[in-house]
Amino acid sequence: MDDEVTSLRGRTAIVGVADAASPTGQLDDWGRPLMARVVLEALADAGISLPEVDGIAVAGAPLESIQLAEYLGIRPTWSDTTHHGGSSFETHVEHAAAALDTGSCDVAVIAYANTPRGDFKRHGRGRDNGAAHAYGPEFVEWELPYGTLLPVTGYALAAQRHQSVHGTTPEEMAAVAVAMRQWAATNPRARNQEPLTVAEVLDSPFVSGPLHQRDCCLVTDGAAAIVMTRADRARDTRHDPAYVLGAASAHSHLQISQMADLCETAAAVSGPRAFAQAGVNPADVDVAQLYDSFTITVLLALEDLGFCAKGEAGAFVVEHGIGPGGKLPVNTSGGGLSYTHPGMFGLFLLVEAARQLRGRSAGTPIADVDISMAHGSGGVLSHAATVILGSGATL
Amino acid sequence: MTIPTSLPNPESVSAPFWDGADRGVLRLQWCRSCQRSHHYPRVMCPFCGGQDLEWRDATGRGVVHSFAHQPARDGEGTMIVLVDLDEGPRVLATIEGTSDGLAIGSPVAATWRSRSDDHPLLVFAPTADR
Repeated sequence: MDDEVTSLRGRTAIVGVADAASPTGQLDDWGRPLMARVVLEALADAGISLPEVDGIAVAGAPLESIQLAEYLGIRPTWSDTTHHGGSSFETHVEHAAAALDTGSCDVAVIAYANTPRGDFKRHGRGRDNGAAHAYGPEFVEWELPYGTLLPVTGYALAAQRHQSVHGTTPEEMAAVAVAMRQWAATNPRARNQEPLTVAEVLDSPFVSGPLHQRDCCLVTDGAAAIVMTRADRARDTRHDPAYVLGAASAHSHLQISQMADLCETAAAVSGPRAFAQAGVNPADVDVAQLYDSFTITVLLALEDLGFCAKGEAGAFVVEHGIGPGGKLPVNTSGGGLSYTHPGMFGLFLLVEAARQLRGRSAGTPIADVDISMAHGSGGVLSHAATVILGSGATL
Repeated sequence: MTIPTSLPNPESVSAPFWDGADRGVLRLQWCRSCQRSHHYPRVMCPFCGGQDLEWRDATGRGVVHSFAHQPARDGEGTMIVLVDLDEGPRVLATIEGTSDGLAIGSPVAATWRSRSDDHPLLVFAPTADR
């Protein structure tokens, strides 16, 4: 890693966070008002006024960052509409850190809102079925005709391969969902808070075998926003800043048939790059938010990010634990499996990671957090983006 | 989700594949520079960037790399497979007929499922030991 890249360490911070979710899975609000309100809440959390915002990122439709800026009445000098699935927001942080550091903007907001449940009730349909087209003409020609389900089929193929090659068991995969549910029990806004057992996961119907319904994330309404600024300004905001120590992205394929190794994701690239920038190791991480679109997604992230060796994540989860009392607290809000998952969970990972550095959580605060991380996954295990955050003591 | 598949443009890079499909022959692109086969078809080799490509008939034989079973409300559902073809490329397809006992490493052979509005679709059937 060269000096230009490592020089971003600690130079920017997440200073405001907000998220919206409901135990009903549905929000009363939707669309632009929902997105704008969560932005205002994040700005209030930071103690920064709306007119100060001169950078904006939205992972949505083409031009959506421009749409939101117009609605908010701001005239940004930095805008990012990068959209590559659930990891888009971690990449927004990487981009925003550079933009802030080079002076392209002084205050950057990253925003997201999606309400598939409410949309269905209001319109009798959920989100449009443009997802397949987002996967491109190659997917439409070569995979879609087989009736693959986006994105679960791809994850099921990876899960089956992991089980066969590494001996990972359905029970070990289910243990991921159980741990997320244990965290969610402490989150009053979590969609699913009642206890869940391994047996209940295994008894739930297959969506795409070997993945059961309870191996799969929720479909809920939700919104989130974060505010970033440079470190000098961050010290004057209302809460302890979550300094960006490292951020890196990588991708390897889009269609599952083009994934070279079903048991290794691009996190094996983004993780080491982010850790190197941050100057820390996986063992230094006090609490981790790892995208849990499916239980297999967490297992692959644990391995690829270096929390355990390849093939050993199932044993890691069962023997060391990622739930309350475990060696590595993972998804302390309850995650996409039990808290909320409005299509993309990546921004919620960052909100929770930053909260943990303030001694707060949507679910359970972890004591004495100095290194907190968010790791996003997008597409069909296609894109990985890793953000390492640190307390002021780590600078 | 149902998105209509459209007949590949006869001028498209993949037209030789679909011409083969019409005759029940699996054809693959090969790179003359690195001597590797790839799939789906492209204007260059995804391994070395070479642009000197040719089409060759394939054996249609391969082994299951992974599989996922999608249940249906009625009937047996669909067995989706990734197949490592003997020539090297990995393709996504379905298993025709019974998939009882299917495992990673199971030998399979290409066959074709006719479609009323499109070229035949590449699918696979389990075979006896190789």
